[in-house]
Parts: sequence; structure tokens; C-alpha cells
Amino acid sequence: MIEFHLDGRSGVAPYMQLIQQVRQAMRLGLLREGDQLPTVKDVVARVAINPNTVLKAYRELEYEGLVSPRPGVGTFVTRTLADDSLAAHGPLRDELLAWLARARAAGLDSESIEALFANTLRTPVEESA
Amino acid sequence: MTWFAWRQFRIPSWITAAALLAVAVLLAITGHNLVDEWNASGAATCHGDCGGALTTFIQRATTGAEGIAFQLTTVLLYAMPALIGIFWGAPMLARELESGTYRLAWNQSITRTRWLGTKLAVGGAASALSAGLLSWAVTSWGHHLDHARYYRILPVMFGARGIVPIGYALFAFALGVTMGMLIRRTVPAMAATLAIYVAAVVSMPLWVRAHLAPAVHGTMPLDLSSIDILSIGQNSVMTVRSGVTPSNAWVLTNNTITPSGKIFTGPADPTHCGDGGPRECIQWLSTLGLRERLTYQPASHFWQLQWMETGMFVAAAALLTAFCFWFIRNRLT
Amino acid sequence: MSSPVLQAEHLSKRYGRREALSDCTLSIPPGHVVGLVGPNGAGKTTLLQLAVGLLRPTAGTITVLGGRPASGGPQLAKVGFVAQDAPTYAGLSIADHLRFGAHMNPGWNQQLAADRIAQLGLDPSQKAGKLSGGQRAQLSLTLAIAKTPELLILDEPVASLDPLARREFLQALMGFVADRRASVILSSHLVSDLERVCDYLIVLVASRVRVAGEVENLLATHYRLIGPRRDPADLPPGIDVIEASYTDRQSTLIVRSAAPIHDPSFAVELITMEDLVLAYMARATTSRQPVLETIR
Repeated sequence: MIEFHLDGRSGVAPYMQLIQQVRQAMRLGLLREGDQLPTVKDVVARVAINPNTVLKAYRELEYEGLVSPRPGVGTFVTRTLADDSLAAHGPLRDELLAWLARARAAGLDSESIEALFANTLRTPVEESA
Repeated sequence: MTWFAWRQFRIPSWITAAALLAVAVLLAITGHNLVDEWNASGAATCHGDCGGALTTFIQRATTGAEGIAFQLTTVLLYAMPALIGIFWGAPMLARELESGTYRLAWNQSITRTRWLGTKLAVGGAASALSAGLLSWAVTSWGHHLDHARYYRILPVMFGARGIVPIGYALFAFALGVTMGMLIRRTVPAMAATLAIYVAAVVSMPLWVRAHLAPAVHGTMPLDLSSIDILSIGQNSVMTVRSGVTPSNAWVLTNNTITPSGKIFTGPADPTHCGDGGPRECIQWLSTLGLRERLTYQPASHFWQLQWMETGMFVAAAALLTAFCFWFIRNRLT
Repeated sequence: MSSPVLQAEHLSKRYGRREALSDCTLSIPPGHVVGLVGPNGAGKTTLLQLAVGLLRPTAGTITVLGGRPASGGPQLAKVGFVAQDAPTYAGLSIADHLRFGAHMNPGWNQQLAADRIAQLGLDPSQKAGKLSGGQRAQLSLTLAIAKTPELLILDEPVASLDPLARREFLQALMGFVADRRASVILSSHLVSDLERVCDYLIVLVASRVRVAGEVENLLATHYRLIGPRRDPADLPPGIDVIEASYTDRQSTLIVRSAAPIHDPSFAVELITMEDLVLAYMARATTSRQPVLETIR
């Protein structure tokens, strides 16, 4: 069974944080297919957040097809993300390392590289919106 | 709620029960002796003029343990209603309001009026019962003493006998609760309760009690064998009052009147009431045909006065209680 | 369309010349954890005490769960209340408090109460006066929860608690909400107390309700606009400026807008609950000043 925590300062909405933590747990292999997520009551009794927040997160995960509720029993994982492990993206990683080397050679410091990356990452999202 | 009212009342009721028990023991022990002395003095079997036997009895019965018990119980009967008002009545609402626990009590599933009603019923019943028990015990115990000398009709003893203590207790309790509710602080409420209770009880014999039953008017020849007042003031104005009054009666007014019915004011005859002793003056006074005009409450009026006074105080308690219910519903917000 | 848990129309409470609450109109939907936030003296305790019937309004009406507050045993049973500083009977033990609750409430769940006390690790024979602040708060919460109310009202429940006690109290409270699907109204003068748990917000400043609504909705319709210094009247219609601050070159505005803002000259940001509350508090204090100037 996994445990949630809330970062009050991250600027990310609480329900989003829960979703991200579930996905991360699945990626790390802590949550496998068939595992039960903590009940709403258990979550709020530990994290002291509004139960509706948990319900919203679980509904979103259900919508994404990652979990599915069993009435009267709980919410269970239906898929794993372990296939998306970093190991499967070896080639992408190599390319990224090469690009980073070129960026440093061009004189960019770490913050400029991050800003460039963040800006470029957002651009396709806005174009498709 | 009844359980809770008793639970909050636990310590005061234990203390009172213990005190009453101690008094009961004292009365039981001394009561025995009193009965023995009553028989030994011959007062039990005497008929007619029992003055001597009664005097003997009084002499024996007011010394030692019995004397102490007598004074103690009289004081206790006057004090008990005051203590009830201060320690049972005043804190009842004041403590809840002062400490803020009313915010817990008034959120439970009973209304304020039911909450108040239960507390009043429990406290009121306890007040009436304790005062009643104590008064009954002491009145029976002191029966012979009262008969011999400490006449119950007199103001000093009246409030410590019969059913009047019950009326005082109920009044003091209701008064304490009302003061606690209005003042909202325990100690000031206690002080206010005490002050008003004392004022009420003291003003009864002074102004009210005499009118609760029709007083008896009587005129008799002036008997100067015992003199209350004999004084000569300026311009030979005299004041004379005899000390001979009907036994076992509460004398309200005692005036010496002339044969024509007016109050005797002299003038003093200098030849008889000069610098010599009072005896010649008294001798001269007895030739003047003076009479004594009395208004008094006789011993036979005792129970009538008791019922009237108790009724008044119970009515006052009822009024205060009604006010409390009204106030707690409509104004205590 | 479910009926509101609390409905107030032009509700006012006056003490002598002082208005503790002025012209409050609210309609709080059921199934929410409602945060009532405002500075000290704003009228939060007054509003909550009106809701539980400890106070009577001087004007206007208030209806709780469809009934007049404290109008009888059944109405009182539906609403649980934890007053400020969690009042308890200092001389009574915890077990006696539970007995008190059992005798006074027909809907009392003794098992639930006893379980909670055991879970908290409290000794039932201990007198309430000897408990710590956090333990007393938990006892008061237990008493309010065990009578199985539909609505739970708490007046600054965590204000005087240390951070651990505060966390434990909120955990217990949220556990109750998850269990019972009850509605909760809790007040605080600190937004941080309420941020995690509330999904409905009411801001009360200087005896008036300044804003009320679902948190999600409020946060989605309030923005921070940063841009060149400009007359706020220039802004397109439908934008309500809550708070504005200027330097010689820059405007920073907190605004409310039903529709998203697409003004290219402004950087548009979302704001936190704390920012939102502060903006309305600032607006409340600045809106008083013109009156003072007139008097001068």
C-alpha cells in the first residue's frame, strides 16, 4: 500500500499531486496491477485533506484507465506504467546527452538550458490546444 | 439531563448530607438529655403555674452540650438558606456562563429551558428537603425549650422554626440562580445573593410579618411590678412602659395611656419623682389610673404567620423562577 | 437540487451600537468542508454562534438544515458544535463527558466515542482539566461527532494548538467527513489552516461577507495581472478589480473575471487561496477609507 504526501508550496493542485504520486509509484514498480489504492478515509486520516480531493484524483485516474473502482471493496490498479521505465528510452537518453554537450559548448549555462527546454516543451502544447 | 444535573450537584449534596448527619447525631444525643431534664424538673407533670419547674428546666437545659446545640441549630437554620443561595444557587448558571461551558451544554439535544428546568428542579427539591428536614428535626428537638422560654412567635426564633426555613431556602436558591444568570460571574453573584437574602429576611419582622395576621388589641391595668422604661426628659416629659406583657406573645406596640385614652407623657410630679429613688415615683404613677394598651401577636397565631410568610417566600421564588425561564429564552443571547 | 445546509438572508447582529455582523446573505450547499476566514473581530464567532442558536439575530434570518437554530431537541441533534477553545467541564472525567453526551443526545453513538478515545490513547478516567490543549480539542470533537450530526461547526478549532496537535485534529476531522459524508463549517483567521481541507470558502471582514463560493471556482476565476502602469478603468468589461498596487511603471492587479483573460499586454497568473483572501481583506479595509474622508 502506498502513502501520499502533500507539498503545500509546490503550486501544484493537491489532487494533481496525488495523481502524480500514483503514477510515480506505478513507474517505480511500487504499485502493480491488482494492487489496492488506499481508501479515501485512510488517505485523509493521514494527509488531512478534503476527501473530495482524493475522490477527484481517483476519478481522474479512472478516466485515464489506470485504476478502476470495485464498489464496496476499494479502488484497484488496472495497468502498470512499468513499461515506460527509463530503460526503454535508452536511445532518447543518448541523444539528449549529445545535445546537452553541444548546448554547453555553445556557452549556455544550466539555467538557460532549462529555460530553453521549458519554453520549447510548452510550445507544442499551446499549438495543439 | 437529570443524571447530569445530579452529577454536577454531587459535591454540594454530599457535604450537605454529611452536615445534616452530624447535626442529627448531635440532636439525638442532646435530645435524650433534654427529655430527662424535662421530666426531672417536674415540668412534665405540672399543671397550672409551672413557673418554678420551667425555670429549673431552663437552667439545666441551657448549659453544656444542650446549650451549645441550641444556639448552633438556631444559627444553622438561619444560615442554611443563605448557604443554599450562595453555594447551590449562585454558581448554578454563573459558573457555566463564566467558564464558557454553556457553549457545550446548550449544543446538546435538549433546549435551554429544559436544561434550566431540570437543574432548578433538582436544586429546588434538594433545598426544600434539606431545609425541611433540618427544621423539622430542630423544631421537634427544641419543643420543650421553646415552650419554656424561647417563644417561637418572637422574631429571633420565628425564622428558625416550623416551615419558614423551607420558604427561605427556596427563595434563596431561586435568588441565587437569578443573580448568577444576570451577573454571569460566580463571586459577585454570591455576594449579591447574600446581600438581598439578608435584606429580605431582616425586613420581614421589621415591616411585614406583623401584618400577616390580624394583631390582637388589648388594654389592661398598668402593672409596674416590672418596668421596661421609666424616664423623665426635658420639661418633665415622662415615658413609662411596663414590662409585664402576655407571656409567649410578640408585642408589637406597648403604650401607657391615661384614663382618657391618650398616651401618657407626664408631666412628672417633682415632689414624687424628684431626686429620690424610683420607688416613690412608681408609687405615685400607680395612683394615676394608667393603663397599658398593647397590640401583639399571640402564640396561637404562630402557624398562621408561618404559612403566610412561607407562602410569600415561595411565591417570590416562583416569580424569580418564571423570570429565569423567560430571560434564558429571550434575552440571554 | 439539494437544500443548503445554511441559508442566511440579510443576517445582522448588533450589540448596542456595535454591529458584529452586517447584512450577511449566504447559501451554503451541502457536502462541503466550508472555511470561514477573516481577521480577528470580523464576526466569524458571531456568525457561527447564530448558526447554532447561541445567539439570536437582531435583523434578518438564518436557517440551518432547513430549521431555525436551537428550535428544539431534533434541530439541536442535527448540528454539532465545537466552540472556541474547546470548552469542557474541568472537574469531569473523559468517561463522564461521554456519559453526559449519551444522556443528553438520543442519537449518541457510544461505541464510536469510546473507540475514538481509545484510538487517541486517552485515559477515560482522567479529568478534562488535566488534558493538554490538543487533547481537549480532540475530546470536544469526539463529543460533537458522536452525536451523529449532519452538520459540524467548529470555531477556530486549531488556533491554539501546536503543529502536531493541529495536524492530528484535522486528520480526525477529515476522517469523520470521509466516513459520514457530513458537512463541516470551520473558521480560522489563518488561511493556512484551511487551505488543505476546505472546498468552499467564505471571507468575512469587518462584519460583512466579502466573497463566498467553491474554492475550485474561485481559484479558477481570480487572476493576478502584471503589466505596464494603466488606469484600471481601461480594462475590458467583465473584469472586477479586487486589489491594485502600482509602482511608477508597473501595475499589479488582482482581478475577478468569469471568462479567461487574453490581454496580451498583461502577464496573467493564477493565485493561491492566501492571495485571494488577502486581496479581499485589503479591499474591505480600503473601501472604508472614503467614508472617513467624507467625515473629515
